Amino acid sequence: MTFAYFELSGCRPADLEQAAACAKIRRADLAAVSLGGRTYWLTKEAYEAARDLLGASAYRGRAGAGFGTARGVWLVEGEPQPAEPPPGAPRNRRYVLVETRWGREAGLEPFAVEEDYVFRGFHGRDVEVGRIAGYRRFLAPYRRDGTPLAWEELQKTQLWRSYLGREGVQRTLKASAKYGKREWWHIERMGPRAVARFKVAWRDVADRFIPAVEAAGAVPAHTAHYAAAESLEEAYYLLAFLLAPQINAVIREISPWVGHVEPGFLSYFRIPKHSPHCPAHRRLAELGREISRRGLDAEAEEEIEKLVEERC
Amino acid sequence: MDPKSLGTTTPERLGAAVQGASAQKDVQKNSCRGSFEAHRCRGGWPARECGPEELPGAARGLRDVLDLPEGGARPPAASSIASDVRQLAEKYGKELAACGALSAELSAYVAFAEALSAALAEAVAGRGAAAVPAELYAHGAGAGMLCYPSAFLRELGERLAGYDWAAAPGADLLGQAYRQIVQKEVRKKFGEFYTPDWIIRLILWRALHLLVRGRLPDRALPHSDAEADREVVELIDEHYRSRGAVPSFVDPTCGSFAFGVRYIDALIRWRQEKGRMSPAELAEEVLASVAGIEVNPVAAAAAKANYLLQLYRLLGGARLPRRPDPPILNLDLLRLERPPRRFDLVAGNLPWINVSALPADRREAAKDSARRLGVLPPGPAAGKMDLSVPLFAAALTRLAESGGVVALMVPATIFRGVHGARWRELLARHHLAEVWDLTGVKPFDDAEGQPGIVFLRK
Repeated sequence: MTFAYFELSGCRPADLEQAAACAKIRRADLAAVSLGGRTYWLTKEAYEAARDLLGASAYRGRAGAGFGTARGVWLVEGEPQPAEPPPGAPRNRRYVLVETRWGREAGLEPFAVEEDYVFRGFHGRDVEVGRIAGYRRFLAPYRRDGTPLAWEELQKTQLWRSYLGREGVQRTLKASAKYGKREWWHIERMGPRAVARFKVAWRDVADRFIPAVEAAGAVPAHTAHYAAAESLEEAYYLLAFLLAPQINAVIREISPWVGHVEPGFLSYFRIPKHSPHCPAHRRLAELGREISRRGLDAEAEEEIEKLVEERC
Repeated sequence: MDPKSLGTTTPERLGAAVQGASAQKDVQKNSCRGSFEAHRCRGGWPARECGPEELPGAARGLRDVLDLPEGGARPPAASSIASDVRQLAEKYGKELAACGALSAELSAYVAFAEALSAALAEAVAGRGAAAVPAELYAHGAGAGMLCYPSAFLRELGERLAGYDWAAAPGADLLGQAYRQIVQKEVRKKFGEFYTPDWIIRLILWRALHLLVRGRLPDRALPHSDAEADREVVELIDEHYRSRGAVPSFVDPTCGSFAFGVRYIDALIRWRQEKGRMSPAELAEEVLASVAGIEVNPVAAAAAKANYLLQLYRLLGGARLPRRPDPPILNLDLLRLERPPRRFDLVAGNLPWINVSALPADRREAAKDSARRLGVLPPGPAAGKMDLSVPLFAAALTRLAESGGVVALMVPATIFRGVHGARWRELLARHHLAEVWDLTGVKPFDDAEGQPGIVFLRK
């Protein structure tokens, strides 16, 4: 089904005479297209360009973890500093001195916690094409494999004694967890996938994919989305694929409001599982690696445009 | 007892009407929604009950209204109506409402609109207006006021009689007055936005093209208001000649009935130019086929007065055999499961409110309606659904005639993104003709936002 789309701009008319005289009119033909079982409107140009790429993806996009929410309870300010074990704390673990955003506002002094419970993460705005420009630290009562501590375990930690045992902290977290159907000390969408070593992450607020490879297990915040990869090679391949102009022509037309590249968008495109035996995939991975080092240029984009159409 | 059925009456019958109106009071209170609900006094409605004995005096005070057909001294204008309302509110504020200037102004505004409606209805039926105070009482109770003081009614009558209502324009007079009474900030807070007249003309012009000729005009914009008006008259005539009736019309969330007023104005011009019906015949046809639905009782009162003003203009001194009751339904479209009829043309500007901003009960009711209409956005997007999504679906599925045209303003945000996905799916099942994105012309004086228009054929 196709229909006409009119976009008016250029002036604020008082009547139709003024509108006819001063308004700029852009007309396009749109088609209603089903992507992932949802109906979107695409210009004929975007649809024609991406037609062969529309379909099911081998990868699944996921929203980042909610460590940046709850009024900064989890967010660490500055770099954690090594600290001596606090009195009574097991001496076979390493400790760091931290200050949280919430704690700073509440007038809390920096406190010591187990180093294992301080994770590395990044926000959407830290993600640039090809690279993650900056990292944050956050507290999380989770093991390094991304599984949460049980209640009994939690109460034995220095993190509990120094921080999570406080009434103010709990009140804030409980208010935040109220509708999430989760334990109050759990972080929304934090889990084994979020801490996966290799992943491609992209900014949420954008009108095209702005992807970067994360190769050290840092956790994306809720302002970024990601897809886990099994190897660095695969992550670079996916990074390059997401920069295909055909894909981003569609994204520009379906991303709502100021632009949000939602996790589900990944599933709208026929992105085959990375195969190291496929020359096109290998070349895409090479390009992804180069883009991570040097950024994206028109030449690389042109090559990607051709490579994503190739079958293996 | 339905106070609208009173016609000419006696003080005794007025008393009985008051008893009936009292019984209706709770029902009407519960039907109040939208901005007026938020404007009303905290801790309940103003408490002064008025006794039946007060109303006959008020009726005598309103006798001046009977003289409407003879005309007052000056043509009605939005600014003078707004000034009258403000003065009435200032003078009788404490008696009208116990909770502040805005509430008193709204009470005076509703009283003005209701009294004007009642007087016009009586005038076009060529009968007396003794029922006016009873109607005022009944509708006033619904709008949050239990009693209008006699002196207020007397002065209101004098002010109404001071205008030459036959000289009213073919435009949304009461809506314009409302915007001068209620501050922009308050209207913005409650999502009450004024649709510019050029957009109303544009929508009617294109929608009638689609309805009558089966296709949209080749050019996007007409050269002028006058050109659009001329073509609209021709289109109405083509429809009348091929189907023996003017296109039926409904605005599903009509506010003060700006779209309907413009449409009736077009019908008046059609009659004047083509002369295919007498004024009384066209008035009857309009009453049978031009309707509005509005949840906000203040806006509904204004819509009714606007409607009757256009009928009064149309009749130009001719009379109707019965007292007209304009089909402005004061109810929530989402609760209207079985409308009394379907329409050729469904046009208007839907309210844009993110359901997350609604009280919990209304939010859940809106989501439930959206679910039943098949347009509830998937997953977490449901919590951010725009109210215009289920309203559009209800207007399309319940109000539009098969083959009819739906031309509604919606937020252009639903053209993209997951929260509009199911809505777009619904549209794909019909003949979607075109969509407009007006974000770049910022058409609303009093609001930012991303306005869009959808034209489709059912």
